[in-house]
Amino acid sequence: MGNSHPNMIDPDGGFGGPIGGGYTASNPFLGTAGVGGGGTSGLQILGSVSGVLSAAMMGNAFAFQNAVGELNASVTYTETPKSNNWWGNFWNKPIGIKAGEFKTQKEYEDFKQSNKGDETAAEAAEWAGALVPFGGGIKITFSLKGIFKSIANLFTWRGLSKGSNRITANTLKEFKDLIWDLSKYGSEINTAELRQLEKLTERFGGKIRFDLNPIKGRVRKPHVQIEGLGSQVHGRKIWLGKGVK
Amino acid sequence: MNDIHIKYLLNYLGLGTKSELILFSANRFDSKNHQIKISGQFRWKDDIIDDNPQSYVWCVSTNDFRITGALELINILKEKDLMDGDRIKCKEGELKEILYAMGWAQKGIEGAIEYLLDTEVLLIDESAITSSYFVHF
Repeated sequence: MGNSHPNMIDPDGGFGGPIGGGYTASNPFLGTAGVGGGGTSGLQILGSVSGVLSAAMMGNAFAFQNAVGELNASVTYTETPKSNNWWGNFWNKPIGIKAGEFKTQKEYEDFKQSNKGDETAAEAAEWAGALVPFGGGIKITFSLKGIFKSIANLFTWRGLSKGSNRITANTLKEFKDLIWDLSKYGSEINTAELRQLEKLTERFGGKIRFDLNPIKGRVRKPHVQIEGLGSQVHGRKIWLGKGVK
Repeated sequence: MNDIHIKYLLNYLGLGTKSELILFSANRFDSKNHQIKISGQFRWKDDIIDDNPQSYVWCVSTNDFRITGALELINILKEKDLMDGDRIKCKEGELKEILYAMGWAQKGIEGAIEYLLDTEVLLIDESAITSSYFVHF
């Protein structure tokens, strides 16, 4: 799960870091503030635990922000990714930023300047700029207020706020409409959306079939198909964004 | 059915499914430059979510005679259960060996596979091309 991004939409709603993954929130001012817990119900702020920054916590980022936004305390998030190209594909856009990319403040500023006007690059720079090599992993330091402001901005920018999550369907007909939308030319889903789609598909009695490595054909792009819900649905290819595992 | 293009299309659409067609229409429009456009609708028996048929368009050349071999290839893929959704389950080399063992000529094998992989049926929703169907290795 080392390639996950903390802003990715979680299947359970909202967005989150790697599920069962390795985000640890520690707050030097509050001792250690572990935040999270399973499911999506509510947010817990614990006094002195080192917890996982879970989907639940991230899914309630706005509530969390409201709760502790005034503290403006610094929080350190630590992840141990499996590879150092964690930031290689930011929102499916290969911008080439890697962990530890910016050795100096000047490099960081130069990158931002050279990508002026490019929201994706600018946002990625904001995140990657705070990355420094940290043992086997990466340490990311933000102010508590800052990180959630940044997250909120990303949500607005991507149109992926909890309220506008596109991987939703309450009926089979809505599910079919969703598949039609996702299979349109130019559409692709990211890792978190794929997880959501898997759950949603199972809920409606279907199953996802993966084609991660098409070898020869008109298009050799990774895609999935939905089995068990009719041949029309099955015939639709849902393209996976770059870097989707 | 005498029209080999419509026959090919019918069989091609059935490659990725074990269901039966319960609706199929095809209108053929010929142009002067050996191009034809076949458009229509289809629906499968297992399409139970709603009864909306899928509209399609297939544009194809009339002077590409690889279609005969490709049509036979489709039947072989179905008979030997070599399809998994839109994917040909075996490797290209293995498929060629199967066809070769069946007495196919090398040129015919290459042509049939190429034609099959080149086929793309455009899917139409609300009068717009939104997606397409094609198979791959």
